[in-house]
Amino acid sequence: MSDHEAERTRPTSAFAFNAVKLTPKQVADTFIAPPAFADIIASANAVLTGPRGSGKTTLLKMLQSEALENWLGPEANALANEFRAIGVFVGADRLWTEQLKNAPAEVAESVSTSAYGLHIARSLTSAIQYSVSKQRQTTLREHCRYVLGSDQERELAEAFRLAFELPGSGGSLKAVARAIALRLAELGNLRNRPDRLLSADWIKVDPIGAVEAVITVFNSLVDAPEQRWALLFDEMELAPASLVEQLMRRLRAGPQLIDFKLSMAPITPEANHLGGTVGAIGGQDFELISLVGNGRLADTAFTTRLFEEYLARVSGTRGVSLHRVFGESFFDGRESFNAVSARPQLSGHAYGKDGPVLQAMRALARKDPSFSTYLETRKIDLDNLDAVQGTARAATIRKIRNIVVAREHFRGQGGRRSRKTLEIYTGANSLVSFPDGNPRMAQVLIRELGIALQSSLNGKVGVAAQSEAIEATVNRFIGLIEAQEGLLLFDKIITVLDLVEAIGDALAHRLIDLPFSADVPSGIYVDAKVSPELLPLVERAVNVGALVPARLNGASLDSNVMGAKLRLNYLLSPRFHLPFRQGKLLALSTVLLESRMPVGGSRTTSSNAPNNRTPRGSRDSTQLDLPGGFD
Amino acid sequence: MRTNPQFSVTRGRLNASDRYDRLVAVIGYEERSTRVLESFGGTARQITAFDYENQDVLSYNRNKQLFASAHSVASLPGLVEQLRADYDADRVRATSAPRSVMAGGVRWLVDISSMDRDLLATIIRFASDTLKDTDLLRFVYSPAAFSPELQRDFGTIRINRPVLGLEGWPADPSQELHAVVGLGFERTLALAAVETLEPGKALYFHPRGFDLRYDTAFDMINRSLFISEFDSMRSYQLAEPLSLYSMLENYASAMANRARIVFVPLGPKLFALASMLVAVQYPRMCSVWRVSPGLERLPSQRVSVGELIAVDARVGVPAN
Repeated sequence: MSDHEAERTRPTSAFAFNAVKLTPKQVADTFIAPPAFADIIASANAVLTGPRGSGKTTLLKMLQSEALENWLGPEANALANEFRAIGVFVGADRLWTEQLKNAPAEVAESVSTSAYGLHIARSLTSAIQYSVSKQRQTTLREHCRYVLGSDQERELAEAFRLAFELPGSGGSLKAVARAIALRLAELGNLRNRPDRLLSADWIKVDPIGAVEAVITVFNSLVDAPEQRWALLFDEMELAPASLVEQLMRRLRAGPQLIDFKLSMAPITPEANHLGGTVGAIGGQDFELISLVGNGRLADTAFTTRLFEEYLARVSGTRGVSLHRVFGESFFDGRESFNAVSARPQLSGHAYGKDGPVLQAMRALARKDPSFSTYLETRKIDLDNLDAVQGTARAATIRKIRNIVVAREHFRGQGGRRSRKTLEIYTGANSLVSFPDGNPRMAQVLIRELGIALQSSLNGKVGVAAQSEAIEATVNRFIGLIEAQEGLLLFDKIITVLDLVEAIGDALAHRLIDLPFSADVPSGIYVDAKVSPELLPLVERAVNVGALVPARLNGASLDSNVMGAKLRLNYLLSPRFHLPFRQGKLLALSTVLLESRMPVGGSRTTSSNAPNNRTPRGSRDSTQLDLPGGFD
Repeated sequence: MRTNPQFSVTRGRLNASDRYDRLVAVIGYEERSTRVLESFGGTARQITAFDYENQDVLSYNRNKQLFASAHSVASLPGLVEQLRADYDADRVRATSAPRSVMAGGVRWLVDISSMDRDLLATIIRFASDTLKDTDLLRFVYSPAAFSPELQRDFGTIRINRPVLGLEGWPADPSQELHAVVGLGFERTLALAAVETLEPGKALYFHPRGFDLRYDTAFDMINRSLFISEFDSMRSYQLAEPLSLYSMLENYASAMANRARIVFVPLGPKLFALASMLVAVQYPRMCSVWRVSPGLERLPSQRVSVGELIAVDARVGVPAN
C-alpha cells in the first residue's frame, strides 16, 4: 500500500461517531449540547456516567478552549462565557491501558502511574500551548487566552522540568513536549528492568501535585492568580488504580484552583471510593451527572435536535419538519401532530376513527379475547373513543396505547405471528425515541436515514427505507453487545447477548403471548436470588448500554448492579417486538429461570453474600411497580 | 520509528534437497498439523514439537503418534527456554561444522499451520531478539481444504488483549489509532476487537484466490462489513504472503510518527505471520491484538490441501 493510499484512507463509517479520535475543533463542528452540558459547566467537580456511546468523551472534549472557541451552537456564547477554566483533556484507550499492564507485576502499577503522569503532563503542555498561541483569528470567540513572553516561557519550561522531573527540557514548551516523549520512551525501555526503574526518582512523581505546581507558576507568570483549570479525565476505569484513588480523594479537598471532571462507566469498582464516611459525596463535593435515564422528554428533545441539525445541513434550510420527512408514528407520547403526514393513511387524529391507534385497538379486539374482555370490563367503547378526555384518557387509553400497537402487530388469531416488518417503529416521534438518548447510535440511525433521504425525490423517507435504517441500527447495536466478553459460568459460556435475549424474550412473552394486561412489565430489577457469579454479565450489559436505568432521573454510579432497576434500551425494542414504554419490573431471577440460565446456588440466597443488598424499594415478589411510566 | 532488528522477508521455496537444523511445529488436533512433518520432516536434523495436549480431540492422537515416531520432543511450558536451548545447540553445531548446510547459519523450518497466535508471536519475538544475520527462519503454512464447518460460530470471546511480547510501547499514546484487521470467518471476533479498540481508522484485509468456495463463504459472512466499510476493504492473495507483508510494512512505514497501528490477525495464519513480522520491527507504533474464544473455541478439523506456502525471514537489512 502506498503512502498516498494510506493517507486517503478515511475514518471508517461505523466508528466515525466516536469523539476519541477527533480534534477539539472537529468535535465542536458538529456538537449539539445535551442538557447535561450546562450542568457540567455549572459544576466545579463532576463525575459523568454513561454507557459507551452516551457522549462522555464529547462533553469533556468540548470543555477545551479550542472547542469552545470554535463552537457554533446557539448557546455557545453564553456557555463559553460561563466556563472560565482552562480545560486539560486526558484521554485513554484500551490498547494503551493494556500496553501499560504488560509490564512485570512488581512494577506494573508504577509504570502505569508514571506513564499516565507523563500523559497528563503532555495534555497540560498542549492546553497551555493553545492558550498562549497567536493563531486565533479564525475562531469565533476567545477563551482563556494569555500572552507568554520568551523569558516567561523559559521559566514555565523550568517549572515543568522541576515538577515532573523531566530530563533537560530546554527553554520552551516545545522542548517540554520533547522531554516528555523522551521520558516516556525511557520508561518503555526500563519497564522490563524493575531494579533500574524503581531506583529512578522520576518514577515517584505525583502527577497531580506536579500539575498544581506548573499551573501556579503559569498563573503567576500571566498575572492571573485566580485562573481556574479543569482536569478532564476520560474513561477513568482505564486509569491506574492509585491515580483513581487519588483523584477521588481530591474531589473532597474543597475549593482549589483545579476542578476535576471525570467520566466513568455506570457500574465500576471505582465507585467504592465515593460516599461513605471518607469518600466524596455527590451533590456536596461533586455533581453526579448521568447521561442516561434522564427521562424520555429530555432524551427525545436532544435526539430531535440531532435530527434537525442534520436536516438543516442536508437541505440548507432550517425548520424542516421531521414529521413531514418521516411521517407519523404508531408509538407516540403526543396525541396529534401539527404536520403533514408522509403516510396519508395514518393522517388525522391518532384516536380518530381512521387513526392508527384506534385501528390497532379494533384489530386487536377482534382477534384477542383477553383484550376484548379488558375493554368491556373498563367500559371502553372503541366507537366513541374520542369522547374520552383528560385524565380518563391518560388513565385508560394512553396507558395501553403502545402495548396495544405492539401486541396487535405481532399477534395473530391464535398467538404470535411472524412479522419482520418494522413499520410500527417508524415515523418521526418513534425515530427520535428509538436511540434512547444515545448520541452515537442516534448518529448511526441518522446516517442510515440520510442515505435514503439523499436519494429521495420528494424529500420524504418512506416506511421501507426507515425500516431498513432501523434494522441497520439495531444490528450495529447488537454488534456492540456481541463484542462483550462472555462469562464461563457453571461450565457454560454465557454472553451479554444471551442475557439480553433472555430478558427480551421474557418481556415479549408477557406482552404478546399471555392474556392482555395493561400492567405488563417493561424491565427487570436485579434481585437477591440472582447468582453473584452472573452479576458481572449484568454489569457489562449496563456499561455497554443494553440495559439502562428504568427510573426517570435515575442518575447513578455504582460498584455493582445488585438491586438496580433496569430496562432494555429502546434500540433493542424492534428485535424483541417490544414497544417504547415504561412499566412494572420483573425479577431478573424469574427471567433467568424461564430462560434456563443459571440463577444461583447456595451462595445466592445468603445474606452474607458479597455485594448482596436489598433492591431499592423492592418487595419480595417477582414483579415491582415502577412509577413514572409513559405511554 | 523502526527501532528493533529489521527482518529481511522474502519468498520461501521448498525443495526436498534442502536441509534444516530443526523443524519447529506443534502437535494439535488438526489433521494438517503433520503435513510439513510428513513431507519435510526428513530434511530436519531435529524436531521440536510443542504439544497442545488435546487428547482424543479430532486428529490429535494420530498426530501425537506421528511426531513421537519422528523423535520430536517439547511441551508448552518453558517455551522460550526450549527455543533458547534448541537455538544454542544448533548454533554451536552450525558454526563449528564446516559442512553445515549454510555457512555458519542456523536454519529452522517453522510450521505455523496449527500454531496459535501467542506461540507464533513468541517465536517471532525470540527470533528478533536472538537470530544472527546468517540464520534463516523458513515459515511454512499448509492451507486447509474448504469445509462448510469453517463457517460456523467460533464461540464466545474469552481473550481480548494484546499479544504478549508484541504489545508495543507507543511513542505518543495520544496519536490516532489505526486498526489493521485480517478478516476470516470470525466476523464477531473482528467486530469485538474493533469495538474494544475504538480506532480512528480501520482497514480490513480479506484473503482471496485459493479456493472460490472460500471467497464466496467469506463474502457471505462478512457481507455487512463489505457494505458499511467498503472503502476500508483491501484484499490479498493467500498464495502471495510476501505481497501481503509488503502492504502491511508499507502502511506502517507511511504512518510513522503519525499514528499508532494495532494489527488484529484473524483469518489465515499468514496474516498473523505478516503482521507480527511488521509489528516486531515497529514496537514504538505497532501492536498486535488477540481476540479469541481461547480454550472455549469449538475444535474443527482442518485437512491440508497438499500445497505449502513458505516465507523466509532473516535478521538484517531488507534486500529491497
